[in-house]
Amino acid sequence: MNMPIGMITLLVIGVLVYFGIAQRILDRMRLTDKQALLFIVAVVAGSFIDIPLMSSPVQVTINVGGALLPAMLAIWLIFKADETAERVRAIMAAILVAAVVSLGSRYLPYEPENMFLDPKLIYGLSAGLIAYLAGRSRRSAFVGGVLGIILSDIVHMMTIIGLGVPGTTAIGGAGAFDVVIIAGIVAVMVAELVGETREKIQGGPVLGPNRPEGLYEFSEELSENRNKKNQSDEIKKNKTDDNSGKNKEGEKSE
Amino acid sequence: MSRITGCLFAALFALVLLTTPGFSHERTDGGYFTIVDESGTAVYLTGRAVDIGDQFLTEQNKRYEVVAIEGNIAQAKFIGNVNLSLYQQTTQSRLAAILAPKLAYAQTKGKVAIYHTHTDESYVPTDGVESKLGSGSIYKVGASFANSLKSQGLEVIHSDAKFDPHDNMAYERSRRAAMDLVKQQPSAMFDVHRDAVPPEVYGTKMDGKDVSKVQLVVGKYGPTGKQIEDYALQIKAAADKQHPGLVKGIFFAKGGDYNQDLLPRSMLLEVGAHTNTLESAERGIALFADVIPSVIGAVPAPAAQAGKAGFGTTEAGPSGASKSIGWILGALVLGGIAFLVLSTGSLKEAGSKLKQFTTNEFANFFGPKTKKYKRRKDDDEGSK
Repeated sequence: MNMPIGMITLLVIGVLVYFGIAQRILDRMRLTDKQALLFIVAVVAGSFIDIPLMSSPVQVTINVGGALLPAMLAIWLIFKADETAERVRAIMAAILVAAVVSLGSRYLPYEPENMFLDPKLIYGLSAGLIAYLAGRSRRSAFVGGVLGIILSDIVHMMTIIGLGVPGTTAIGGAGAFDVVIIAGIVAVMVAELVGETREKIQGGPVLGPNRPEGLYEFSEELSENRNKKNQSDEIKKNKTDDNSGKNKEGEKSE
Repeated sequence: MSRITGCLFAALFALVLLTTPGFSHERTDGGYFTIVDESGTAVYLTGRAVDIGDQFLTEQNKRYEVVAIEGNIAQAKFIGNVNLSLYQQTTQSRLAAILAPKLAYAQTKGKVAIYHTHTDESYVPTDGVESKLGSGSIYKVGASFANSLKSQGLEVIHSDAKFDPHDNMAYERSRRAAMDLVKQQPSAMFDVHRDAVPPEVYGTKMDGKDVSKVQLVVGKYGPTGKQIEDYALQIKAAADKQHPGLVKGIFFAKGGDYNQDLLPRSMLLEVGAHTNTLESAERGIALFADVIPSVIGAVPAPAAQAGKAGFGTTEAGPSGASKSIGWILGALVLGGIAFLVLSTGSLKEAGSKLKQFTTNEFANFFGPKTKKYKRRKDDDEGSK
């Protein structure tokens, strides 16, 4: 590559930070830390494999790391969902994201300099918002981001076939750095940000018997395990500092 | 009730996101922006839709920032003269010399990758139309660039991938081809385009022949924006030395990254405008190719640019790469703190969550530290 040391360091740090964040996001997708790391390794390795799907009228390929693996994870998340309503919401989110991306790509300015955000992030952000609206869960957001972009690629493929424009569709072709994965990650981050902010505005999530029915959140699962663990922690904490107002927040935070 | 509030909040956010860019649509009326300085003199013309906050470097190395836009006229504020000689370091710093990968330097020549995101772009005087979906004559400009680079002994990969239609997702589609090119380990990568302004903006005469000038476009949005900015200045410094007047200027766009985050030596080039002839564009890019070997360090001479491209030097300050590293790490730390505070509610809670993260979070990788384990043993038993 013949590059000065500054550029190489920049590359290394950029990649480490990116995969670090990706790992933190993936371990919220029913994966353990180790599985999340293995998934990233698989995505990186899979980035080098393109599977041709068709060659005429347009050439269509799917990248293993950039589309196949994240799509499989998303579909697995749909199947593993606790209730049918959640599945429907996740699928709805994906379809809505695809619609927004397809319409947005047609009507938004086509030079990124006209936008205050890069298209990659705009679609990730909208995926996160839509998925949060539709499913209110990080997993729905991930499913919406990943499958939404893949669906929008299929829409693009049909558009260019319909118009008779020569072209290619390389679904997830940029591998680990493809907009498929970026949209999935950004979507979860947005769901997290919006969710946490909203919870904070309304003074914390409703826990216990008054929790709204059908509201599934990742924190619920966590709090089940951690509550037990926190109980003993809290007893200790209460011995030292007596701030009973914090108890509820402590429960929420984990 | 709360669900409705949440939905409204998210919908509002989505609305802001999706409509704001709509105010600054790409020019489709064939118009272009004339950017004037404080005294009202036109200093820059471009068919790119200009936004407040965008910056540019003129041919005379004066840097401006756009502060107001009224119709086709954009008002710019003079920021300062850029001393391009700082970007022509001839000696390597000691640290860089020690750390530089010798194997990489042992390679004789570099490899250059070329692709075109807007594969329809064409030149009206030659082609009759400004856009030919899937087969724009921009490919011929790319081929001329490739041939000229090859004649200097460089290896060239010229991608013929197509990304039409010319829409908002074009850069996301070309990102895939760009990544494919990056996998082949090029020393530099160029996305070749053309602009849309009157012919005199890019048209010039060199050695008695019509030549179209070249504009460099830097995406300031990506994490590596600062590094790309330095790289563009290095290219202009080298070009000004070899072919004065060939590089029209540098446009620093704040809104996109043009996939320049994939490789630290990525650059978007605009060769002439649709009003120039294809032949003049081909000549322009061929001359521009002369500059590349020195910029990518394939020849040791004038601009080996170790200083600015390494971590920086005392006289030139920190390099773009160092600044970009700073931005990435700064954003990571700030984002982390913001997330912790938002998700826990107070600095104190955030602190304890961070502690939990550093001690317990990766327990299933390494196993908890023995000391911590002892202290938490009874807690774990309690939860079983």
